[in-house]
Amino acid sequence: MPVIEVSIQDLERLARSSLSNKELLSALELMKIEIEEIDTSRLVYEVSHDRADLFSAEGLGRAIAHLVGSREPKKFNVMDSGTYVDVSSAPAYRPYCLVGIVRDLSLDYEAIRQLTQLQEKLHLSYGRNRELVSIGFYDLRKVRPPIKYLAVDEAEYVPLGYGRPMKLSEVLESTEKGRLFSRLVRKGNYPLLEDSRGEILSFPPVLNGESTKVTEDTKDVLIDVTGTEPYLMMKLLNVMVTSFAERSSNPLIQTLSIISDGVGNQPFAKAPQLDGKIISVTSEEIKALGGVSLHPSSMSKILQSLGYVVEEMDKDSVRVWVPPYRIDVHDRVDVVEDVLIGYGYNRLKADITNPTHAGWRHPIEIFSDVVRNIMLGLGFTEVVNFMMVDADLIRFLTDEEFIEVANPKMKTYSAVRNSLIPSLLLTAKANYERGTSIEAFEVGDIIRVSKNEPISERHLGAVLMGENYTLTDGLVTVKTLINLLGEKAVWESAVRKPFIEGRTALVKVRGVQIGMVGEVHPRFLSELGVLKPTIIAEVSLEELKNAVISS
Amino acid sequence: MKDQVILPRRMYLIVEEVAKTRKASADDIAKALGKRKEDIMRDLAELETKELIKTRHISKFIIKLSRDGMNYLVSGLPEEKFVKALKKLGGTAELKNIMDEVGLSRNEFSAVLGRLRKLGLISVSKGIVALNEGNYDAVISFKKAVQEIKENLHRISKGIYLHQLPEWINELKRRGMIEVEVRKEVIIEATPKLIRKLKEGKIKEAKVITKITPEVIASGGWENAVIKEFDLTIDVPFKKPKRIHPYIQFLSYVREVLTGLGFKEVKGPHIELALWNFDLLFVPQYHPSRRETDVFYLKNDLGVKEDKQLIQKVKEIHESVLKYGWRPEEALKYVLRTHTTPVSLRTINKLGDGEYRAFSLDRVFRPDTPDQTHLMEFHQLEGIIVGKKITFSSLLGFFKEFAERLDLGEVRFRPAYFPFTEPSVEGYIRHPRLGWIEVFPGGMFRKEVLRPLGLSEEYRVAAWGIGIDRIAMMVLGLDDIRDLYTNNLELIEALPVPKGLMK
Repeated sequence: MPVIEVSIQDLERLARSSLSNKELLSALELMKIEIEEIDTSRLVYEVSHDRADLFSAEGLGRAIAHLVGSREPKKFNVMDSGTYVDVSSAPAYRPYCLVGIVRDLSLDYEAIRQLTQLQEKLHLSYGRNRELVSIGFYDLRKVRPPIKYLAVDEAEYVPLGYGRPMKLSEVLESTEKGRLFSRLVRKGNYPLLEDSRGEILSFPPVLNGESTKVTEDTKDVLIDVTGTEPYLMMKLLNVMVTSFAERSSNPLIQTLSIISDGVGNQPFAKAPQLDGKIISVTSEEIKALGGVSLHPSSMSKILQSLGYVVEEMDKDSVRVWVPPYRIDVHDRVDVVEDVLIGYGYNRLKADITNPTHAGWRHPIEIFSDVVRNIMLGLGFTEVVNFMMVDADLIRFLTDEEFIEVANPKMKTYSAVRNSLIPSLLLTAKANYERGTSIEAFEVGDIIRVSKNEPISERHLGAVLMGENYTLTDGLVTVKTLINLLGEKAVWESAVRKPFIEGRTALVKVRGVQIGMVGEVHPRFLSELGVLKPTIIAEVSLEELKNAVISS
Repeated sequence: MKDQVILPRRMYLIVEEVAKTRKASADDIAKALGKRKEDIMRDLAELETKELIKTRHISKFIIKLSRDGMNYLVSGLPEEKFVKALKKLGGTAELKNIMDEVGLSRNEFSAVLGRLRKLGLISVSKGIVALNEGNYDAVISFKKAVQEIKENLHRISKGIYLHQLPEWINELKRRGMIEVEVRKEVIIEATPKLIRKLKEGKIKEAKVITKITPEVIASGGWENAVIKEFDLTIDVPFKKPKRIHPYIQFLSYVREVLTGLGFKEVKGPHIELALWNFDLLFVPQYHPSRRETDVFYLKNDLGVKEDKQLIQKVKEIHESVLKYGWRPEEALKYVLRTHTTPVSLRTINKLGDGEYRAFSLDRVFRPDTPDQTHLMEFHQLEGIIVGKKITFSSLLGFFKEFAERLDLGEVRFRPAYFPFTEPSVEGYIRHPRLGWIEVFPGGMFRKEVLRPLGLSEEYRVAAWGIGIDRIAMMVLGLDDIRDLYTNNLELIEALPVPKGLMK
């Protein structure tokens, strides 16, 4: 989840209120925010992924202002700019570009830092790190609209932070951002954002230009969003412009038309779209979901404190305007949740009704417990191992197919065991130094691959390690277990890794093979550093259970 | 043989001692045997029931001179001092003057004054005391009384004890000249039976058995023998226990709690399609939780068989509500499930409409580097409550009930976000060291999740997925999550059974 850093002083300025620690903490709790660090000047918090509007001080300050009542929620002042963005020559692999303007801003160092943080967090949380959506902003005074978003085979500009002009291909090769994002653009078909003079604003999604960069003197900004997902882009543009608007005492947001000359499939004619949604919720819905009766006037009060504008209210429902930056609100249930959050989760009734049916354990768990008790009675102690093991270990021990992870974090855990044998040998290894002998068992799941399909299966594995053990000890264990379950084990000799040829027995019950017992070959023991005779027995509990139940 | 008496060694020694002295106190006998009195009391009681001895409980008074008594013996009784002083003052004197002269305490003085007047040796009138030397009877009985007291004090000063208190002792005690200490004593006497049996050689010392053997049991030898007492002050070693893994024991208890609340256990595959792990849960394909840093994808090229209609339904939901280009190839990638929520989805998909509760308790996988608090593989307790009247309150109620049954204390709730539930909640419990920790994430499944699964609108589903390992660590008293998945027999043998599981 995104971690955001804000300055408390800046936050208070935006919230138009000085905040005691206690007020701040209770406000943050309602916003699904978890504090990571806080002192007198700085707040670091983790915010849930859905609240994109809280990814910077602007949105957080606004939310706090609504909550403490220092400001009433209101709709945005939006006008048409009279200008447009031309996307008719956009690259086909990144065909969309939305542009908006926010005027009368007063920006300082902290404001620019916050808005840059917002831009980056949106890239990471929603834009799949600029692959789907890429955001940029520019000083409008240094730009001559209309804007053009187009594909070029090559161009030259001074990239942001570099004191000299570079070709686009050079930007990709020799700047940090270029190397990071070059995979998102195609050679000879580079996306470009330029103004009516041909001044290059940006090489999206890679790097902006130096000439139009936003500084503390910037009064008006132009914000662009380019990418492959137009609806997502619109949401994020809405979040960007409304956040910029928080840096003005009397903000004016302007839309730009999107001109495509019928090229491509452009879903929008202009951007941003700040109309917001209208959603009604009823007292009945609240009662049905949260078990609490709330009068519409209480609901209104709660929703207002959470930034909604109340449009209309009657005796059993409230109709509210959902601010467009609340991109997490899809429909009524999301508003219902906000009512319950505002009311207070800890004030809600917590009351589980009596069950209508009896509960029961999964049959394989019941059977597993039966087997555990028998193994305990036979003098074995239970161990637990991970299902994930080293792929090389499985490969070393068996020729059977197994599941291997494509992106392991550690080699030790790069595959899923297809048998309990690796786990039991790891158990032998871990306990080798200790005492004279071990008798241990594990009841656990394995995943085998059969006919190109993964199959999860519950197995029993037993390991005996010590100077005096032979195959007989393994056979005795399995024979007794199966006897106690009312069946008879039949042995059949076999050749299987990692056991000694001539000391390996397949276990059959009613003609069905359910497992294997064997003495581990010294070749494997010496490689693993287990220098004592080791006997392993493994039985599929699913197969054994079937054999027992079917009789 | 039949009239033989076989006694354990200590009882045998006691009767020997009693027979020798015929009559002795328990203290003396204990001393002779080198034991304490309380060590032999049980033996004495047993010997008395065998009619070999008789016991009597008596009191013994130890008389000693008090500090005053000692003074009087050395420097004379107060009455002697008084008479001497009065004589010195010429036979008559004012009370005040005598008091100054005689040097007695106020109490002693008034006691003496009263005693002498009663005797008639002095008379007092208007504050003047006069010695009646002419009253010979008085003079004689005074001297006699003084003589007697001094003799008694002298006798007592050598140390005496009595079984009763005569009047003269009580008199001295009243005058504070002596101290009386009471001691209870047991007097043992040999019975004629004891003497007779000893004489006939029919009292014998028993044999001692240190180990019960089949021969001892079969021969009846134990009847006339004493089984050697074990010395419990000598420590014994531990036994290496064979046991069910403590973590499995905990999981088993959790299953018991859930079935007790009417939940049926269900299971699902560890390897899921992203479709079930994410897309059906309304997690957009651009969501960061689907990144390679957060999910294990597979190297294997496994076959995919999936319901085309289901895929179409998911596509429609994502594209109409979340509005982005949904790609089937993203959804048809296999992953190691990152949670067991797909198991809940499969259960709803299978059972459809109805009133039911289901849980699953199995492993999930996330790319984390194992350390004290993280693992790449852990258990999740997943559950759903399905029904027409199921509300968010049912979910909160479940968390409270569950916490109570696991003895986890108070639960606090905070808003939370999961793409597939609305409302969503996170329940917190208080950890003894870490403060409030989040343990209960859950919510009501969104209709965007339920619609493709075929559940009718009038049914609601409360769902949760608890990372049970954190709670297991608390209950088992472990600080390292890796210890839950241990194959170290030494650790398994040493972990005590958690108290929470025995309440």
